[in-house]
Amino acid sequence: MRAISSRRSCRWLLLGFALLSFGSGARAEDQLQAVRRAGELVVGTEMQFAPFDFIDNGEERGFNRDFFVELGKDLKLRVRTIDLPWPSVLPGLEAGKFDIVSGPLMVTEARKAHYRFTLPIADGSVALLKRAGDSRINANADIAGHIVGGAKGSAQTEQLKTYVARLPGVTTVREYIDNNQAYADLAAGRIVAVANSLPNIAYVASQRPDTFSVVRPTFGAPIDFAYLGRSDSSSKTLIDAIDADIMAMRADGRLAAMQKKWFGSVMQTPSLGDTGATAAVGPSAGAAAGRSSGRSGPDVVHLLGLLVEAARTTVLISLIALCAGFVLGVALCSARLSGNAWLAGAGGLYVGFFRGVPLIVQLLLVYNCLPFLGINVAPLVAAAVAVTLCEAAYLAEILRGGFLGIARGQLEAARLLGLPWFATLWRIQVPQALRLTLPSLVSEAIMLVKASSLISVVGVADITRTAQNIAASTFRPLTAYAAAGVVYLVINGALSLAGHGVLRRRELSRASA
Amino acid sequence: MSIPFDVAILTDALPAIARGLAITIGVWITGAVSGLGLGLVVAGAQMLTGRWVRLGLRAYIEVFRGTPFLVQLFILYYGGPSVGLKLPPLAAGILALGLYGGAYFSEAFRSGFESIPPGQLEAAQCLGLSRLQIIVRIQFPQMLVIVLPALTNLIIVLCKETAVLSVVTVPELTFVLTGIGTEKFAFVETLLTLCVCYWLLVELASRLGLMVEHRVSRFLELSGS
Repeated sequence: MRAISSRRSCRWLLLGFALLSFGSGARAEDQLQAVRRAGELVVGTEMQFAPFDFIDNGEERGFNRDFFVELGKDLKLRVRTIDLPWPSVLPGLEAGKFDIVSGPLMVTEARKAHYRFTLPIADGSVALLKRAGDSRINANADIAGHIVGGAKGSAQTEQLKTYVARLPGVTTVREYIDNNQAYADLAAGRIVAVANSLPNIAYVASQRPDTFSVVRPTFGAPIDFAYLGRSDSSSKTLIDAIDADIMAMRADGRLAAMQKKWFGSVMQTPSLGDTGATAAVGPSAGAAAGRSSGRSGPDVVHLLGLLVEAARTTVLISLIALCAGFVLGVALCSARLSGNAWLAGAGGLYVGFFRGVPLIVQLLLVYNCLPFLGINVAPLVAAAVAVTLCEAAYLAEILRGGFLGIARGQLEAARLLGLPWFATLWRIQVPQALRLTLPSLVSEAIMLVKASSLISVVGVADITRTAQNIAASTFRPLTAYAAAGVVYLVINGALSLAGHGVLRRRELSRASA
Repeated sequence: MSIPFDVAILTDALPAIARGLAITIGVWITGAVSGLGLGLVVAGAQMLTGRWVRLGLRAYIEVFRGTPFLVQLFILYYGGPSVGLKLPPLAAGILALGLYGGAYFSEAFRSGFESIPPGQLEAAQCLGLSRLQIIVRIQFPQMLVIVLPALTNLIIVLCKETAVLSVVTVPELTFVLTGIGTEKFAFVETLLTLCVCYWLLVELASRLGLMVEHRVSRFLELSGS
């Protein structure tokens, strides 16, 4: 018996060493195997990068969607897309939130050093988009001395900065969280041009010919567009498999058909050896496909429906944070009032930190940094965790007032009666603290619903993120955001009415007692 | 796995970070001051004006307290141009902060005014003080002392809301540091620095608030005895 168990433990020890030698347990399986086992390829992108990825009337469309449908067929995988703002996309890839970034991205040396590109799928040379009829801007160099825009952290914006540095005078480059906000500012006249890859801006201009037009030719070096994966050894198998499928799609003409549909012309994307690319002439078929709904104007009822659906996510996250935050808040509060200096200090530090740092920063921290500690979760979970942690601090502070409002005699009586501390906490302190702090708790719930709008920044499709997508696809930001505001007002109005109702009933019962 | 931390990324970008911090503080102070001014005006107007104006002011307060700051900012910055209001990012940020803060400040001021015992007002009226005199000489100073803790809290809330302005390209601290993060692929360093900076700012503000509170309540006790 002993011999068997020691042999078994020996085997476990060996297995442990074997795992350690791979760095960590999760790495033992390569990424292609992991994806095959899950039966699902997870793609990270920003759904505001037409014609590659965009949301049209609540539906994912674009070149990438077509491509990954074909890829999924070939590799027999389901494909799931995670939509998040561009500055969070690369951190998400590194954090292992998804297997590949569909963007696509410009193939640059700096990125090659950090990541592994697939084979190119399009020409990504950079050009300028200007307002239609802006007579000041006729050639690229005319932007000298004006303000121009680009997406923050994008290689296109880097090219723009390099180009602008050579122009006479001071040309300011303003960096936006996503491209559509830059287009919106261009339409508003805050900037004179937006730099982006030609397929993108040609598509935008074809969608709104009376608002925008493309400045030709492209500037800077010709550059390719490709998808992006991690560069570690375990990811190699997956990217190799995708590369093989890209070659297959090039060979049987599917890639060319998709390019024709979305960019209006076939591009000579170089394969492993050859270089040089021809620019797109301008999208036609794909543009026409997307134009139908963009042009006919937003269907207000449909848009409100999308927002109401997104409201479910907002309410869900708020509910989770309120309930879980309450439990954690009670724990924090009793720690602070425990009389133990260490517990009280730790509780105070927690409350101070989470109330002292903006929620948007906490969200980014949880989303981007947890993976370094070996914890890897989906955006929705990361958002729920971050909002809960923060909410607990606020609730602890509110409950503290309630706890202090309970007469000391009650606690002494409970102790004399031999009630265990947990029963004292849960049966005597919490119900009374809840009653004492109810008005503050209701307003805290309202604050929470509003604060949850920040989860849009890590790509959770809540009310705000959905409104952003609607603003981008309809080009009516005022309508989209005002509608979102109305949805929030309705939720908070209902919360506040419910709170008043409970309070009034309590007053009545107290008066009759 | 260990957490990567490269201090050089931060020290290299120190001037940019300092500029971001300066803009954060500047936006915070101007936003808070304009919010305080607006809140005071709205609270005063609610006491002095007729029913219709009051109704309008109530609507302003409820709308700005019932919707997220991020959505208000989007409406102002991206929705504004379609009705001819074309503000640069910094101005839009300060205006949004002021409008948002104003709604909360005015509620704080109102509750402060309401918590002054009505006997004092009757006494002042009997002594022949005018309505304006009563507000300026009797209600205002006492109200200010009562609402001081609430004001400190709200000012701290505004400090944290300045981080949201990064979303509309105001080049404040969050914008600068997340930008460095994406550029240098260094997310841990930049985000932790952000936490520390805001924590220090908030700690500083709450200490200052407490100091002022102590000072003022000492005066109250003296005059009360």
